[in-house]
Amino acid sequence: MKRILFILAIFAVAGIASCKKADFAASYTDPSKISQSTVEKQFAGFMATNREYVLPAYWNYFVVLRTTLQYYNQTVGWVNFTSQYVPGAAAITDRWNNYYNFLAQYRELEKINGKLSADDQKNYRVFMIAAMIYLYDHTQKVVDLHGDIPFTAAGQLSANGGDYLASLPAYDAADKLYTKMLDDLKAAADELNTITVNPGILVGFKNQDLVNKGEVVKWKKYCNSLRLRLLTRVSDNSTFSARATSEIAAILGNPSSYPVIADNTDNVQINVLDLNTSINSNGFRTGLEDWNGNVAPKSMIDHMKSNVDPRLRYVFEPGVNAGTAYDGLDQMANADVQTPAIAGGKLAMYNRTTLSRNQYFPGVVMNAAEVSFMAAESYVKAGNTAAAKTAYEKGIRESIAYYVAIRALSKDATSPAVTAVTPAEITTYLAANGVSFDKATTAAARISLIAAQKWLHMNVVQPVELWAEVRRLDPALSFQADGANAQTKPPVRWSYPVSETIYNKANYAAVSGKDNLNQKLFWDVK
Amino acid sequence: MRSKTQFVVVLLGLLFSGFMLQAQDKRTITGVIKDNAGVELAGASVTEKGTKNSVVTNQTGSFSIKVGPKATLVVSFVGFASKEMAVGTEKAVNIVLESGSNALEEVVVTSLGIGRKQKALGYAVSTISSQQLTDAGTPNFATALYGKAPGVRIGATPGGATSAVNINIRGINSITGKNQPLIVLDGIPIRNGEASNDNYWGDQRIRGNGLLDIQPEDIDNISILKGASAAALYGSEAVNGVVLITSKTGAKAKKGLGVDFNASYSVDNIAYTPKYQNVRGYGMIPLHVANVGQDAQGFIMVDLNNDGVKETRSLPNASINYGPKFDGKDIASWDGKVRPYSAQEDALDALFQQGSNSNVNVSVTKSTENANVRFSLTRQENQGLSVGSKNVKNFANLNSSFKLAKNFSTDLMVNYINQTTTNRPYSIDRMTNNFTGMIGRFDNGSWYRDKVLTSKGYRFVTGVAGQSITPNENINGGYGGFKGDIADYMYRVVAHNLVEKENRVIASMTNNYQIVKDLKLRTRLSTDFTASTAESKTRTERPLAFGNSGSFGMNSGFSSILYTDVLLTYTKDINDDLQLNVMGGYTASKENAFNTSRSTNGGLSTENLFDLAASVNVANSGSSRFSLVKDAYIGTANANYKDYLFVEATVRRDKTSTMNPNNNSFVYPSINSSFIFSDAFKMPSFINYGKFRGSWGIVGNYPDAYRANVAYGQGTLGSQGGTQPVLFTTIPSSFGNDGIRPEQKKEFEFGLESKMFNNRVTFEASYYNAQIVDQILGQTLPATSGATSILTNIGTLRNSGLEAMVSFTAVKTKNLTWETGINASQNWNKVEALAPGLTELLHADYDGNAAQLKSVVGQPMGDFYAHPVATNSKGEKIVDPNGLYKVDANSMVKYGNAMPKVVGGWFNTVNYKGFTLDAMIDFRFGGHVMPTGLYWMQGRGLLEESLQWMDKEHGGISYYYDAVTKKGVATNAATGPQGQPVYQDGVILPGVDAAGNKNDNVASASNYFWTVYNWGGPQYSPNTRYELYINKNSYIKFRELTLSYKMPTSVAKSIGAKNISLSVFGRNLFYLYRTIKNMDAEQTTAGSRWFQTLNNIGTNPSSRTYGVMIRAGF
Repeated sequence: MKRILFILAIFAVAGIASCKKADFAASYTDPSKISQSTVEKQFAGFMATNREYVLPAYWNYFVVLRTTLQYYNQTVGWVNFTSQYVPGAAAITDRWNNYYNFLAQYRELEKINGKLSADDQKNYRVFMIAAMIYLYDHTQKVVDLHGDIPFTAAGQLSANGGDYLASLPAYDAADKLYTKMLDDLKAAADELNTITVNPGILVGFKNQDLVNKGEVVKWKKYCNSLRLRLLTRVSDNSTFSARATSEIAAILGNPSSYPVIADNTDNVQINVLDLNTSINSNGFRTGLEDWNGNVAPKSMIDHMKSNVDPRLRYVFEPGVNAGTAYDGLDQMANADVQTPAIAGGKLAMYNRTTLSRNQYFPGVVMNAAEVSFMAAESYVKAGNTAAAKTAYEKGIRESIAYYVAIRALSKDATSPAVTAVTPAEITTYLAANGVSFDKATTAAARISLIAAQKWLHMNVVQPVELWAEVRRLDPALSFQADGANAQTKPPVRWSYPVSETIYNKANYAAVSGKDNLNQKLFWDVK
Repeated sequence: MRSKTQFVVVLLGLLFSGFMLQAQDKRTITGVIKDNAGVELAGASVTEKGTKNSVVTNQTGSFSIKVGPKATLVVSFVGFASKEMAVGTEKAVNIVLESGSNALEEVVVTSLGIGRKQKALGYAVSTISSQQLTDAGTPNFATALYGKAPGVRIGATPGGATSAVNINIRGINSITGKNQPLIVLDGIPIRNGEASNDNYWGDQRIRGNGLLDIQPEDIDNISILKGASAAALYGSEAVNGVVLITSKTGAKAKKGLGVDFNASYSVDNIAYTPKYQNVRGYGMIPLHVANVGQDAQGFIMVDLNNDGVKETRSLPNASINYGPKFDGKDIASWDGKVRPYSAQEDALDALFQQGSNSNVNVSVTKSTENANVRFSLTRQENQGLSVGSKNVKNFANLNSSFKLAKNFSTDLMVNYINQTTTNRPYSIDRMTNNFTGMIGRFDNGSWYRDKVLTSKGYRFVTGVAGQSITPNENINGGYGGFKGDIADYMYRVVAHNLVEKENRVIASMTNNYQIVKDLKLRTRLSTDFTASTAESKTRTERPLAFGNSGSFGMNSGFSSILYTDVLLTYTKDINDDLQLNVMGGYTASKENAFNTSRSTNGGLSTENLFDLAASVNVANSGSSRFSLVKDAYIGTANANYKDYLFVEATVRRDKTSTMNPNNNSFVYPSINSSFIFSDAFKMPSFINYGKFRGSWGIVGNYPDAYRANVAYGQGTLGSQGGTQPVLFTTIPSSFGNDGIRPEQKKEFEFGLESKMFNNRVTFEASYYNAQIVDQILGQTLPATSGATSILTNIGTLRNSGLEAMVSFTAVKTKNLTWETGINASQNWNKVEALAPGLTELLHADYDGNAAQLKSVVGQPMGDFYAHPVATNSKGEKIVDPNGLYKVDANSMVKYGNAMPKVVGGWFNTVNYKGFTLDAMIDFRFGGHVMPTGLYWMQGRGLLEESLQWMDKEHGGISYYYDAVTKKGVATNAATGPQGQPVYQDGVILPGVDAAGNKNDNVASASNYFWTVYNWGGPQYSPNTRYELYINKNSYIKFRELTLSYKMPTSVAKSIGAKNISLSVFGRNLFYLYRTIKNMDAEQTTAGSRWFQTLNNIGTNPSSRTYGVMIRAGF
């Protein structure tokens, strides 16, 4: 009897920790993850993946933009230093990896959609069109930064079931990608004109769409505006110029079929509604302000001061020791002059209330001023000066209204209140020497006016678009040559990240010849 | 009722046996006990076998004992083999004890806590005794292992007793995975965990690992299972070897009550800091090299009294230290004070505190017929070098064994560890790996300490115009070389408070049941669970009017390992010559952990109100969970032929939840054999013992939990204006692999053990060869493929090596003995294969392609590559127009390998009367590191090396700078042709310019150091030479020195003790040899994985320890 009790006691003890088959399966999967998803959820995941490159965020502003595009665009003033025109590996890699993660989410969306029945695919078509438009917007930016990139074969690891050797993607030529995007976007614009969305699906679309809140009309306007942007960008390239001219005319001449973003109410942006969600701009402050990343450049301040730009007090504020005087940092000065100038607190900076400390700063996608300036450029090229002037001045008005509206979103009171902009002030500004369209007598002069306004309008808010326009339109900006480095002036493209050269070696080899900082993009013909 | 009866029976029995003893005839036997050198042994015990009758020899080794008829005397003495002697009628006996030979019968703890005779083992096991662990007062057992076991390499993260310690056994077995052995305490696997301390931006505090919680004073011995065969019963957890810890029990105690007391106290001081120059301060003299606003003498003038006149000299703000030489005359430092301009040799002192460690341990043992128990209490207090860091640990340990019935016994072990860690050491990364945090030679930590808090208790503000309510306290920051990073560090150690509390219980119950004569059943149930909480408080930095700042966070965690095993053993003597032993069993474990945290968001709403209620925005929250189950069936069979030939075979089939449930079970076999040739054959007389052994086995390694499964991450973006919250999914950028297989290590091993010359010489050698196939690693992918890494089984590694140990008693006389021994091991590591199509694996690309760490097929893991100096077609070095060598941006060359070649140790123990001197030296040869921060310090002009060529005395050439040609021109004149100043710090590098002309451009030495030891690859710094940063990290270190004195028994007795010993000890004392003079050889240890131990010197300073210890037994 005692023996049996001993044995029982012993096995009772052992039984406490013994494992059943179900225990193994239960502990194999991470309890915080799921094995199935839906078009709705993956669509939102896709859009959320690159939110920190749309909404102002710390990493993008501090690590990626501060030492790269903000310099090349001269939208900030900084202390000159050796190697300042070589983009850092961290900036390139982080932005690149985020884009390809974003693309991988899109491919996963395609995969999920692909498994649906034909009927359901038709129902979810609106999600797929919207996703494609949003993807192309960001793809175009990456092409503009690097030139040729992997795209059609990229992001397929999940679709290939984890076969990574089969998933190393080839590069697509930049101009071919532009062509593809233009074709696809045109088709999307036409399809959106005929699409009817199942009301049940529309409920989910409205909820999950972070950009246009499920408004199909706004997607149409976004799509056509994006087409305008791509067409404008390639308009000086000889193989694209004819297509650009005719398609731009077709869009601008047919607003009922091809509506564009006409005024600020149409602006495509991600609004910040609740700071406690991850859709916020809380990181703008440190991202822009740290290490004096918000110092105003003399070139921009002087332009705004001499033409009495109403935006000056909205976009900038005087230095803490500067009283009411706006002074920018002279980029042609030497470091030993610049350093004490910054430390003295006399230099103007980006308005903290409007921008960096405005936690409700929207994630800017496309806006009316940008579209108006593109229209103006196409009218100048078409010789239609009157229409060009109208569009140009509309662009400026929209830009002013835009900064006024953005400031109104801010709950921060760091910088002093500003006086409202009066209509008379705008009129005076439009007639100022450096602004007046009438005073520009040649097409080239008119284009430079537009370029200057794009620079003032996009400043640190849309640096990637601005850098493309700076390279394409070459506004007059002066940089100190860096004699101690092979790269003496700002680069005209970004190199590829190191990971490509090692892990996608064979495909990289095909483009390695173009992988230098002075290789112009195909649309950068001047 | 029953117990009462039993009690009466026992009592009667005792009385009766007493009566029986009384009734016997007694006679007296005297004798002398000597060792085989003829030295009398004092303190040896002489016992009449089968009784409690026992005496101890006196100072002359003699004894006198009353025994019954036909008595057998058992003589034993520590360090000698026990001897039995039947005494007939003689009245006096002389007995000679053989030293050390008891090791042959010594029982070694092997897998699953099974004790086996040392001579039966067919594989190498290193055993470390309790004394070796506790001699030098180390706060944890791992740091006591340096150099003590062949093939075992220890690496401690600097920072003190709370910093992680690495153990590597027989080289590195996983290219990117875990490298740490399984730690088993009294048969049960315990939580160790990994630490990574090389990611400053992810975590600024230096973390520890679980093995730090094991108290050396409670350890009886440690067995290290090195090879696959030795560890095969641990299957998939044993690829990195197993450390078996056996804690002290009451079983070995003499009958009755024993009390032991031990106390030690030691201090840690910063040691092995770089050799700083004490010649010059911040700035740059030749203006043409860098103009930071200095005058020709290197000074700038400042206005201290605000009269608008710049009347006081100061140093320019610079992170380079090529400024004016110290002259002892007045100068303004950055804090606005005027001091004599001279080197601040104590610059670092105020940035740190003196470390200290105290350890007080009391243990009580009690042993009776049916039970034995040991209970121990320890309090350990450790203060790190980092300001404000402190760790208090209380250990309570109970180890007991009860005989419940004749054939049934139960062992109970409870280890309770309670600890509070305040302010774990704060990483000094920003002060070593960042130019703007390197303290200059005219700068002092105490100046920062005085300024980091304002008089109102806020964070310091820089800039005259900085927003503050005490603007007159603002740090000007415009002159004197103020280093924001140092101020920031100082502020954080003062104003950031982190208190971690942890309660850990490791407990087990083991039942042994002898079912019938040959059949035994053992079961074990154990737990290792930890409950922890942490509170983080960071002070409000500025008045609320300027915005909310400061934070509060709470964290609570729980982790547990529930473990059980059942073993059924059958032993059978087939005949007199052959004995068989078969064992079958089952083991299972379940690990669980969870962690929840909350913290304030957007600063504190009320100044210094440390609570979540003070969160300005909705508080942040986070949580994580983890569970893992494993089980295994195991079987072993042993055969013993005539006690000189032993064979053992084992098999384990295990299953784990970290693998796909459809394919998660694997089999690990092993076989080993030992042959005692000295018993089988007649040997020359000088050979006392000889054993040859051989083994083969397979062990494995599984992926980390949840890594294999491919699943969507999900989350919510909250409500974004729609009717519902926006829920989303994403696929991970670190891709899993549902088809992953375990890594497998297949290893064979041969060994020879021998004792010679009356056991005065002991020799042991092993050769092993292990191939590790199916390496599990996160293969890096280009992001363009759709993920940045994927879990794969790729790659094959091989580790082969030799281990040898020899020890001998060099001197042995009556008063003096000297024992010495040396062990060394050499490991050859080789990457045999990687992913298809890949010949190399990149571990790290440093500083914008300045250098790379990669593993290349056919080479040992961890090759360092850097860019060489560019040469022309004739092989001549190319000098750039700035007078410095051009670095070849297009090629990279191997400059070293990270794997150490030889590691080992040399011990010496000298006994003279009551004194014992223990000296432990450990060494390592080979293995390159790249301590970048150190070379940056050199580049910043901080180290002695950067004084080279600074003037004529240091070998500098006189030259003037021609601003037109932008070249330095050598001259002997007092000024240049256009009156240019002449500098003395010139250097001409042998080489040619781009056109092939001999270089005659005189470069400034300051420019040379500043540029050659700068940051970045050729793309950023075309003349920066990382190949100079890669150096061999060999050393011979005087690791431990202990001098102890054992008081004469009479003295001890006079205060009521049995024995008392006092000792002084030192650890990490000094180097006999080291290849990198500016750092401690372990300074780069910054994580558990091998590639985290090569580059970063930014954890904490290294230290040297001195202490005292008292030990007493009652």
